Amino acid sequence: MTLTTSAPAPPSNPLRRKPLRQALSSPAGFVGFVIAVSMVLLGILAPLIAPSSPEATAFDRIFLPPGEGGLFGTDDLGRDQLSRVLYGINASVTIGLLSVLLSAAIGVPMGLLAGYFRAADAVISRIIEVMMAFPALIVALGLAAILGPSATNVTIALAISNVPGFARIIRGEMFRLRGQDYITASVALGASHTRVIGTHLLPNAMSALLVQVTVTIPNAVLGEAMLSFLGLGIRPPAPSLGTMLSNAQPYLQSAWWMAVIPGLAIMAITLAFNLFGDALRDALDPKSQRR
Amino acid sequence: MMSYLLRRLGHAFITLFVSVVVIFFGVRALPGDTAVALAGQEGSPEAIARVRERYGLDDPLHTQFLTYLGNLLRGDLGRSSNTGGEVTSIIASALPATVQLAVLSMLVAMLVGISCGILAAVKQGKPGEWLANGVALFGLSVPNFWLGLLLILTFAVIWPVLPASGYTPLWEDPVDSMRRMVLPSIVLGTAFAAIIMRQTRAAMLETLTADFVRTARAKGIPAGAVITRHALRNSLITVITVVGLQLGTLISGAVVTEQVFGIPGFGKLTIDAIISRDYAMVQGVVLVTAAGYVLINLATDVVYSLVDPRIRVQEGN
Amino acid sequence: MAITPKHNRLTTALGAGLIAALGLTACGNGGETEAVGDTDENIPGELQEGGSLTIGISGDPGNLDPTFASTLTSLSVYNAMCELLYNADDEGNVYPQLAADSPEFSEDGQIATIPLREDVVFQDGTLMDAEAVKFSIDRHMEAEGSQRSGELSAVESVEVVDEHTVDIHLVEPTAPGAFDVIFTDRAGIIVSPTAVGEAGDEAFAESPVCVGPFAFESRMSQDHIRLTKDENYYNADNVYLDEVTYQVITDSNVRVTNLRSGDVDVIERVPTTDVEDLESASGVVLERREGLGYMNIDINIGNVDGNQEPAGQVEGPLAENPDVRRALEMSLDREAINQVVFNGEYEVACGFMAPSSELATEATLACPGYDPDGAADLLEQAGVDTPLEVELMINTMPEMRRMGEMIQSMAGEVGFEVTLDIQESTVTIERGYGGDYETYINSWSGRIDPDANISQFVASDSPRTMTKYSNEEVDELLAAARAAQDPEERAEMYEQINAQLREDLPMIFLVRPVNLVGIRDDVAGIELRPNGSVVPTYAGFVED
Repeated sequence: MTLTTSAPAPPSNPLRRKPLRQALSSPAGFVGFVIAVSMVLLGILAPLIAPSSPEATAFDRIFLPPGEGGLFGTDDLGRDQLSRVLYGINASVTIGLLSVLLSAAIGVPMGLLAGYFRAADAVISRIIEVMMAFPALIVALGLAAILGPSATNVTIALAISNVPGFARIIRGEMFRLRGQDYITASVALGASHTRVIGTHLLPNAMSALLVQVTVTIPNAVLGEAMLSFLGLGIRPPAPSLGTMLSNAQPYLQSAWWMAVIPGLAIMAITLAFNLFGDALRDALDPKSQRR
Repeated sequence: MMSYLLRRLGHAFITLFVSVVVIFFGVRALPGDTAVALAGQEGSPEAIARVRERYGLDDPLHTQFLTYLGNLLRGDLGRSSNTGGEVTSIIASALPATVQLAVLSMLVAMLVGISCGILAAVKQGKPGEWLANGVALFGLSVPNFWLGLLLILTFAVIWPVLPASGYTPLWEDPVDSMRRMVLPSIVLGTAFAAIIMRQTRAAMLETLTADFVRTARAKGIPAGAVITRHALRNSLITVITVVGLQLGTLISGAVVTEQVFGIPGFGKLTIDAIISRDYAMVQGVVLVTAAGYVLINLATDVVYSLVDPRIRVQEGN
Repeated sequence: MAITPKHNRLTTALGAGLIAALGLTACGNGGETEAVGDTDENIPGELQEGGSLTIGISGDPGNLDPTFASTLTSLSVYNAMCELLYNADDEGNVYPQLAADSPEFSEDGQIATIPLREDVVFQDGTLMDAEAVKFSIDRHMEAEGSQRSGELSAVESVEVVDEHTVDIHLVEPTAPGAFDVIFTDRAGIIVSPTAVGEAGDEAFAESPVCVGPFAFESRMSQDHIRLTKDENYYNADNVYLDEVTYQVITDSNVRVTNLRSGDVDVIERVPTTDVEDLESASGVVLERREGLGYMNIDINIGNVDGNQEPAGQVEGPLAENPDVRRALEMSLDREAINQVVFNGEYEVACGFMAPSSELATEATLACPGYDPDGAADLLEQAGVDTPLEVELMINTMPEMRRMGEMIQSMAGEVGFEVTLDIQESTVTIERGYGGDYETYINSWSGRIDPDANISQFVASDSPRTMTKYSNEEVDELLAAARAAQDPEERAEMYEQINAQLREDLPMIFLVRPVNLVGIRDDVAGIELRPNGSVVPTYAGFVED
């Protein structure tokens, strides 16, 4: 067993509260939610609202600063940065969300099995422990390198690197819930394993899962940016915020907008999810409840 | 107690062994092997074949694995195919830089994190809390490679007061060494400041409402003294434990930070080894990381089980 | 900081004019301007005795044993640490270094007799004699895993004639120019047999011992290599510096920043994007030398099952029809690539011949124009359904990616639909040799003789061809040009080879890199090599 820093102690009875509504009623949570939704919308609507194709080059319009070269300026190949940032947000958000869903899809069953069946725990805990023994970034990096650079592979690599987090949280939840009276009672009454897990355990672990999802999304977004920055992520010329940053590096002094704007876009996404995630956690966790 | 210890040791051993297997085959699953990387951009197929032969890369995988295991048991991590040096001594020479970076960034992180954490806990609902929370959120949200680039741009290019990169060992020139560590420590420290801030805040909130603090307050001890002498000290134990367990985060952070600032430490060694497909080196660094993680975990578990016997019972489930 | 694999750093190559770092820098300091023809001669009194010079290099040099070294940055370190039998100045002129004179060829052109300097001792104090030369070259040829054996494939054996003379027996008659290529690279480094014997074959890499002005002192992997002045060096009296440090700085921006701040004194391979900046910066002098190498697109024509297998015919209009390849070439505006990607600092290249080569002629340097309309017409005449899909493989280096993106955009105008396949350099190389690609942006650092810049890439039986292009006429011409002793005859044969290659277009040449070296203006006496690396042997700091 190991301490976790990212997950809160679950609420005593989460079903009686309305954590989402409560999280939204705090100013920070509301702002985070609004920004997060806008970023997702901007990403989805990128093909409609982008002023030009993100891959359209114009060699006579290179390095134009914001204003002269559109809202966000142009890059080293004369491409419109606003369009690239919008498509980049699309990629970041898509990969961030998909990889986290995939992590949960693998991690949750692992955690359930480990937390519910002692026999499975011996094996699964070892697997989790081995995965935890490698820093997540190294796992993602190695996997991305093995699989080759593409959006799909980055999603897979990030998903796998985040699996242990989910598995551990759920396993912990199972341990906590299993000892509770009503569970013991339904087992005694002859309820099947699937029924116990499906009707009692899983719904009660939902809030912990929800928090884990919201804290993992920004990490996955950062991970994608990092892998793309290192050339292991999305393939150019498809725009990715990380790729745009690595592309901007040689021009740090002469074309600051190429480095500053995509970085701010990444931060807007991660900040939004973190804000909302914090509010949600506060709503679920009476201990850190402030008002 | 003894059987618990033995079981934990057994688990640690299994984890390490599986790690060894995973690293060995994982690094060989990377496309493009040592030979291609080593022969270089302009290496001919003949030169590539020669390297394969030299490093026994054409042998069946299981033969290579057994040779590796055998050497490992004798404490021999092999030689870097990249530089020809011994893996153990290369790792040893890379560690001081990383340790220095880690210690300094922890100082930065604790300075910022703890003060913000206290601020957030004590000034609940006031601007102080907003500020502290803002700092933590920033630390969690900012891509650290980007932060590194911006710091270099600001403090080494636009307003050149600090070196952009590089490393000087502490014992060679302490002043220069520290100057070079300022920006990297801030970058690596930022993410940790956020973690520490949250831990401190949570622990402070808990201890501030605890009985002995209430008693101290009731006795008329000034608020400042209550915070530092009683609440903080008790909170720190939790904070330090939590931070100690973040070895993985530390190494991940060091990888990026060292790469951005050109510090020849453990993290940079890891990346460079992966990129140059230096099998022995990758195996060495990742094994050291995994062993570090397993040992710290083991130590924590054992200490906790001594302190709180219930953990033993639960683990036994 | 992108992680740039050290192995795929763009190698620029070569230069012209033995120079002048000295003349120019002295000028920058308000000192006397000296036109220096031969940098072996320093101007006494202008340089300080002693000092420590730091040279920023782009990647860790890797294994420093000359037999196993494979990185381009190892060449930089050897400039200070290990001398060669022969070497080349920045104009590509070959001069004897550890040899006492040019080789003498037997009548059949198959034996080259090399006289050795008699006053030379290794850094461990032992004598460098004919036995040591034989030991080193034999080791280069035979050691398991040697990276030199391919470069020495033209050598049959080495024979000790007397204490200071060796005979190199060649597999076939070889033109002097082609012979020079062999020993002006790392295969020409002579190591101390005593030191190899003491350290053992493997551990020798940890502290190599050869002949050179600066001896190995210490190293930190991925960070630096420190060399100190060797008093045993035969010309030690003319060496000013006490110490030379090679500092590994993979990020090119950081290299530039550190040069400006004075943290390093010299940097190689200045990125073209930083030229303007450095030119306006105070305290720094920028040196330019035209390179010998090139960047090109390889087109997979016959590499079906890997290049060790017999050539086949790759399917698809691009591989089957030279006119389609020509259309691709005509669609590319080389000058625009040079301007946008390389800031206009490089030269356009349309063939393998370097303009600085004495064998270069107008015909071998000629360029077809940029003609997008003609390209579209040609594509239509070829009866190809457009858009024609083409996959272009490139490695992760930033300038490669930018070039790829430009090619994609330009070729797209005339009817090619280019997809970029970006892979780590190890993967591109493996797939290149394995025939698992359609087109690939490749680069070659260049050598001083044209034979080394083309034969290995287009000869049918070459182990290095990625295109598996095969043309008997070209094969015969290449062999004849390699053996011919008369330069004019050779030049004419290369014209014919170039004409045929332009006809068949297995490779589309794009640009010729220019070597850019940045030097602090208080440093003088730095020489350059044709490959763009710097030689600090007789360098020093200018007295105030």
